[in-house]
Amino acid sequence: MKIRFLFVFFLSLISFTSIAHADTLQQQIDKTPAGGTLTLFDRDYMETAVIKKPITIVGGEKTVLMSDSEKPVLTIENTQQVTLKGLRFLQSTSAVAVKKSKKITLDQLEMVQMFSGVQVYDSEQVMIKGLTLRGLDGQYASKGYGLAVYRSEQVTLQNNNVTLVQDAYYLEKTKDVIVKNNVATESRYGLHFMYADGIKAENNTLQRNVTGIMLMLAKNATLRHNTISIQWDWNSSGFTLYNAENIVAEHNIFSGNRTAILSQTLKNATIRKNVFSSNQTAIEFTASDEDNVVTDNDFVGNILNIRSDGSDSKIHHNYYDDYDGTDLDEDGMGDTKYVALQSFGQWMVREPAYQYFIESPSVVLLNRMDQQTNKVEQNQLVDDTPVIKPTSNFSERQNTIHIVSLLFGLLMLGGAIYLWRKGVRIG
Amino acid sequence: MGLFIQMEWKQMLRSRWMQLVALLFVVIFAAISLIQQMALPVDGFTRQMASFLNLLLFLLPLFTLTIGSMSVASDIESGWYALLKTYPMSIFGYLWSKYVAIVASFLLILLLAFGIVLTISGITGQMQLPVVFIVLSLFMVVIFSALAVCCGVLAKNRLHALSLSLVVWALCLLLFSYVLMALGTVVSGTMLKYVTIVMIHLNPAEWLRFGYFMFSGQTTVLGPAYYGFTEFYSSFFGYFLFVVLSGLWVVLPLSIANWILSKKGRDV
Repeated sequence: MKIRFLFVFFLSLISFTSIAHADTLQQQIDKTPAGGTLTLFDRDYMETAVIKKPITIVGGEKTVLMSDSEKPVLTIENTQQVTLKGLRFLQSTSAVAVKKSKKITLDQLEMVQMFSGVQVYDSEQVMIKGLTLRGLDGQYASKGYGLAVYRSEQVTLQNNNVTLVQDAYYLEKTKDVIVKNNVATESRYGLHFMYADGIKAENNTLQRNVTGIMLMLAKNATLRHNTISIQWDWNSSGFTLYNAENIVAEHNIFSGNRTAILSQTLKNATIRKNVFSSNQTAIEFTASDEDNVVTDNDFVGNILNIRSDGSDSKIHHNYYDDYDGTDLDEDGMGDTKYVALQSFGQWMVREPAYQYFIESPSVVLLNRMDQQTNKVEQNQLVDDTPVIKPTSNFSERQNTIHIVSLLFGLLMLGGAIYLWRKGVRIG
Repeated sequence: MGLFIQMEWKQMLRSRWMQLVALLFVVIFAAISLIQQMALPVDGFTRQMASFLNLLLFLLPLFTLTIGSMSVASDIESGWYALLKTYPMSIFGYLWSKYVAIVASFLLILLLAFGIVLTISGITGQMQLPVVFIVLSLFMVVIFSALAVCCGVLAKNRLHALSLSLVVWALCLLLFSYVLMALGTVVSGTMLKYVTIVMIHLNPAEWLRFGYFMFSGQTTVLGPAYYGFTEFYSSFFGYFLFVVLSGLWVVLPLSIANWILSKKGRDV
């Protein structure tokens, strides 16, 4: 009797489980009460679903969500307090869409070979953190955005890592957005803000994109402690600030970019305490406002430090490694002003075909002459108080013996000396 | 001919000029490689890379042109060439031997200088000798040695050869560029671009500078205006064409020198 009972019990348990396991994602969501938590099975879900109630969905270790539809795999709409955690999306057009919702959290999502990742429309209090997204190989035109936010407020993007998409993080008509500790690589734009107001972008790493941060028609932005390196393609730049106002860019590190900060019709911007190292051009101003301030920055190893189309900005108290003045009164500032103005730099801004000659032997000599003649320049791109020492520490190299190089060197040296001695020997 | 090349090479190496040039190169390259230890560890066309490239472009053609042309002019001026004509050796054979001897001598100097750079790099642990610089230097020696032979044949004496070499050097390194930049103030940007592309092919210094960007994969430095041009040269056919045109920069000056020398051969 007992054995029969146990047999029936296990049979019903297995049947029940297999039925539950066979539920579609939508059925599972529908069966979960509002405010409840749904833990997905360790299986592949090949479908799309819509979430319209407060719910927490947690992925299992082997849960994979995908869809061959044009629609997002998961759509959250007209609801609030939804959390998606630990879900893995694969080879789909889009992973998650959030529409007209509040208090949404997307945590530790993983997306692989996706056309695009997450779209947020008309929502508030959205937090996306710990997400990793790898897009598709190929042209930027054939890819979508990584995380895109439209007409939303109080959005936080944090600790995400996005690569191989068109724009890694795209924000349009947003308000009060915090973007911090994110990584964007191998994309067209790392961070792209359009018509945004109240932006904080901090501690982000943007590398090998066409443009690190693109700020268009945006205002009240603070871009701080970001590392922007190797934006080195045609027309590449670390920051492109176009028609933006009230911008603060501080404590950023710009390294190895085509142009570190490219600005057009920029108003009331403060660029301070940044490090510009080994960029082709550190800062370029076009149609600049007189209230733009460049101060307390370190310019090291750039080919051109600051160039403009003739429009003016306030430049003072920066460190320039090519400043050749003295500091006889030892107040930490040079006794003579630094003139960043270079004729060639201005030509390049006005006529791009001149760029061919950049840092060519003839231009190097021209720049040396320029430095002498431009000493009479009073206003344009002049720093009256250049500092003598950089604020940053650049001595991070560690020296160790490189055996292969040493052996090759000694071999070449020995060979050259032997051949020379043999050559000059009489007889 | 082999014996003559060997003899010429020995004479070049024994020359005080050559020994001074070798010393200069070794000192400069050693200094650069030491200075580069302070450079920031960033890839790409940085100011340090630009300085290194410019130094090569300034010095190597200058010494190759002056020493090479004076060596040829000296043969003609001193009557050594007239004596050589009594031997069963063609004019081209003579020019080719001089050319090979100049190239071999400068390659030896480069070997010495690069050996120093690599040794210092090995000791300090900072590898700062990109292969593209070595290849560029080889191309530079090969092309400018041919031009040097041509200058030497054109010159009446050693002083003339020196001045001729300096004119060629200044034209290639500075004047052509300044003329183009000045031209840019009166013609459209598109026209400036096309004229610049033509001049890249007509000026060996610019040709080699362009080669550096091409082979180091940094053509984007030249700006988007030259996208089509650089894309073409970044293809396999582009590389092939680069080598062929570089070969022409050797063959043409030597052929011109051969023609000039055979024309005035009766007088020397």
